[in-house]
Amino acid sequence: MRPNFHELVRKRLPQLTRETAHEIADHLGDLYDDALRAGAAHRDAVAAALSALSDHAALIADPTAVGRLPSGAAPWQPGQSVTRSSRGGAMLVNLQRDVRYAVRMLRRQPGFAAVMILTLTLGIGVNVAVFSMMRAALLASLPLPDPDRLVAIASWTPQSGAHTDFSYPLYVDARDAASGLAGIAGYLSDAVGIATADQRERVVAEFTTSNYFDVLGVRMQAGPGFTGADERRGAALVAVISDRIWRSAFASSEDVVGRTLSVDGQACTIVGVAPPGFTGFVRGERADLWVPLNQFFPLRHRPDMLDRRNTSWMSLVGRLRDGASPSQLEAALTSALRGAAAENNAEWRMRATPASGGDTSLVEGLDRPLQLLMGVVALILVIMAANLANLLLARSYARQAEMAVRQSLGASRVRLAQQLIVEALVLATAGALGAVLAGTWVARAFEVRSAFGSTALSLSIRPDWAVVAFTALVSLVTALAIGVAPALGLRRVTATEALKAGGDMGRVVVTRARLRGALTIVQIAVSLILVVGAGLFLRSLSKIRAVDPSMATDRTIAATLNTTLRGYDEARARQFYSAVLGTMSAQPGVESAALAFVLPVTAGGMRTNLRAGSTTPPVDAPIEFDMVPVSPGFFRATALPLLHGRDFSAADSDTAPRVIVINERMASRFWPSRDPVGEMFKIGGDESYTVVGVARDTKYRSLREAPRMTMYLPLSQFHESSVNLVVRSSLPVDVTIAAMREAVRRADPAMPIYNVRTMAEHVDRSLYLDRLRARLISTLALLALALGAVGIYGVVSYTVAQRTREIGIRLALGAEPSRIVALLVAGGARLAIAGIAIGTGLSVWLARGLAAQLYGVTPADPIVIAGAALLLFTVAVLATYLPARRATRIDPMLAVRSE
Amino acid sequence: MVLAAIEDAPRHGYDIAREIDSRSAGVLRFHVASLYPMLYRLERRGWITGRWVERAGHRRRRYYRLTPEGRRTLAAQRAEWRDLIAALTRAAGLESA
Repeated sequence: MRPNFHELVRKRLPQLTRETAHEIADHLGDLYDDALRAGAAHRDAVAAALSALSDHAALIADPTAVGRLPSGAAPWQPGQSVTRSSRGGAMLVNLQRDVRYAVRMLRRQPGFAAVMILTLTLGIGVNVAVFSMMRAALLASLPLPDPDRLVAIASWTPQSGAHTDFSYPLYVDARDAASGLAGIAGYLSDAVGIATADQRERVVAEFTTSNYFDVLGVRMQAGPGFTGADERRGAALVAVISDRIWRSAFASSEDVVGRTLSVDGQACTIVGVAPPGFTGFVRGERADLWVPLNQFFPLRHRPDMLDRRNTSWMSLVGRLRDGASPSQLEAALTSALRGAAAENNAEWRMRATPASGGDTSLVEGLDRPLQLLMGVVALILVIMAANLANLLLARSYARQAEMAVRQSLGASRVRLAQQLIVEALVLATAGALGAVLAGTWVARAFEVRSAFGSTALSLSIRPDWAVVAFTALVSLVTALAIGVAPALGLRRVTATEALKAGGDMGRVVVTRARLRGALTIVQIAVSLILVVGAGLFLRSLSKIRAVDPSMATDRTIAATLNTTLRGYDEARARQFYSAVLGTMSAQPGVESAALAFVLPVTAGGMRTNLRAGSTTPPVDAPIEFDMVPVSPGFFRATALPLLHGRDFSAADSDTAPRVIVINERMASRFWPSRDPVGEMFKIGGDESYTVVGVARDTKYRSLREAPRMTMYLPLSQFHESSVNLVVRSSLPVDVTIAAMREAVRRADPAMPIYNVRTMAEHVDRSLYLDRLRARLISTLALLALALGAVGIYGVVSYTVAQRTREIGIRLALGAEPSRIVALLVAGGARLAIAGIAIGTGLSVWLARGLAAQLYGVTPADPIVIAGAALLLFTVAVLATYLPARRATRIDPMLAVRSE
Repeated sequence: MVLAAIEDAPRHGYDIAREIDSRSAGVLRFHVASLYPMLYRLERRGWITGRWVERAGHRRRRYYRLTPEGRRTLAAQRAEWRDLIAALTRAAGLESA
């Protein structure tokens, strides 16, 4: 019995229009009839007919078959059971097909796919890494409730900018004045040694007021936390530990509250455990301990410091109450504190700046370098994208025959372009997945240091929504960029051209070649930008290195001693110091041994800011100078020349009149026309010193700084519990170090001595950021250069392969091989020159933004630019020459015959 | 090829497939699922039109015929084919020389 094909088709493919179903059914019917006529059995004939429907994907994707009724057809009868797919449905099906097809194509060429995906992972991954770092260091908010209500509080003058240090009494005034608008807490951080019965560790602790956790919005995991009485003088010693310490030192035990923990030698009672994820307010530091302010070590021995108004040492943070605005807070604080701060500068005011990211003082210096890095890796991505686009272009040429046939069968260019872009998207997705994983791993492995350079910053880098969104965006843009290239190369290819595969005729080839050439020029231009950038930073680094700090860096060794680690009071510390110095000075071969609070070229130090006219002799502008307590012999130990007067001596004891040694700059500022030795220097009404010597200027904070004023004081008159032992000796380095360790051990066997370094190393360490920048950019520039070279090599190889027949014919006709090479090299050189020209223009324009980070080098340094251009040109010509030479070895006979 | 198949007379889908099959001596064969979408595409391009035709004694079937633009396209493509054949012939002639 003849089957009802109409019903069959409608049942099988209900989404077809009635007309299409009818047409198909007719076709099947004819197939059946023909099969029968050819002698097949009924069942086989039916099977033959139905097999024609097996791959109906194209059919149900066609908009006519599915989307609308052809004109003049019969209208729909009510009750028809045919469902109509919408246009959108057709598009979705198309997309599915394209994705499946793309995956199939890539599986067939695993090598090609692997190269593409790996390159994408690298290019996108590097961007993800830098973005993760930026996010962790600068962009992300702290894991606190309503972080936008947090503000950092500082005083401000137009002359010296923001000042973030406050004294305790001033804090109390601020807290009370603002109580209606905001809660204000104070804090500072420092490293401490903690110990339980079986573990010792050095951690970062935040010393805070008792309302700190309330203001930040942190709820204890366990225990009550601080109470109001904890920060006052004489209160019991308490501490709040972090989740990490709770887990590692106390095994997350339930009864941790009430147990004791030794903090810098003193037993504290644990009153709380901070929630996991909270590591303090200072960004870039991981705090594991919170202790009330009054336990800050200097306060242990000078508890009256808590009440002194003229010592500023803590930072303030506030949380705005509902409805209050930062400017309201600023106004209230300014009017309330003006009197308390004794400021008669009319422009002095208080500022409250949003601090949802916490205290950024440690990471502030990172924003420019990270932005720079971001720009660099973005450029690398551009180069890689150009490379990949070229690759895809070449591959699409190989599939030209397939494309042409499909076009002549009616596929539209739009559909084919769509498919190419989907292919690129599939690749980019694979690359993106790899990039997120690789990127965060790289970011974590990369140790970031602050401007202080001495400790690595602790940044919590993890893939959060922002990183994923960034990756998706970058991948999408990259995919579109590289997919567009071969799609553009598609033209309305006719059947004739389709069958001319490999030929060197036809506009198709020229279009492709032009596109490849343009991409190569882009690569070269971007490579030049990066090479110029690397050159600028390298030159800058060498100039910084050449700065003369005016002191000796050879034969001088330093180490750090911290008497608080052993719980010394001032008397014991002094004893210790003199014992160590005595032993070292007696050592044969040691020219000089001394102690210093900070060494030159150290980021950080003790700084005093004074208003205009507050000194004697007075100056009429606000001043800032460093104060450096040192022992006698410091200037000899560091070979820092004393220009006038004398060094400190044993006579400048604690009971003797106060003396200071000032540096040249300070001398010329306060006593411009006379020798200041013997003069009196007074700060305010009560601090007065006699100047006994003038020392040569050196670099105090960094080699790049502008000249600053410094005042040296005798350590005996200005005691510091943590100092650097600095020794100048003619002995070999390791012998001197051994002697230093022995001297310390003899004075106190349990005193740790750390951070042992030569002065040369010390100075070099201060250059850490600059060296890092230079190294990073140089590496990336080299990568870019390699990529650019590969790009050119590829283009020229490709041209040679394409034009094999033409070249072969020319050779057969008697052309000189060297002329052919010259022709090809000239072509490559033209691309290179174009790229270099564009790149130079862009470099000059972009480098202007770098001026602040460079030292002694102008952004448009001609030597660097010329060098970069020359380097790139050489590389380009070489990359052109090598494949060009291959052309000359083409056998003319083979070439003419080849396809 | 499809255009050529309906050059001399309108045909319906099955006939077109059979025509191409026989003209190419079995080398080219069309699948149902790719033939009709292609016909619809050509129709959308405006090179062919389809009409349902009822003839006495026959089922209703859809016949396709060339449009004037279709004829022009066919002529142009034919010309290119001729050029290609000539070029290939010349190249082949060179080779044996």
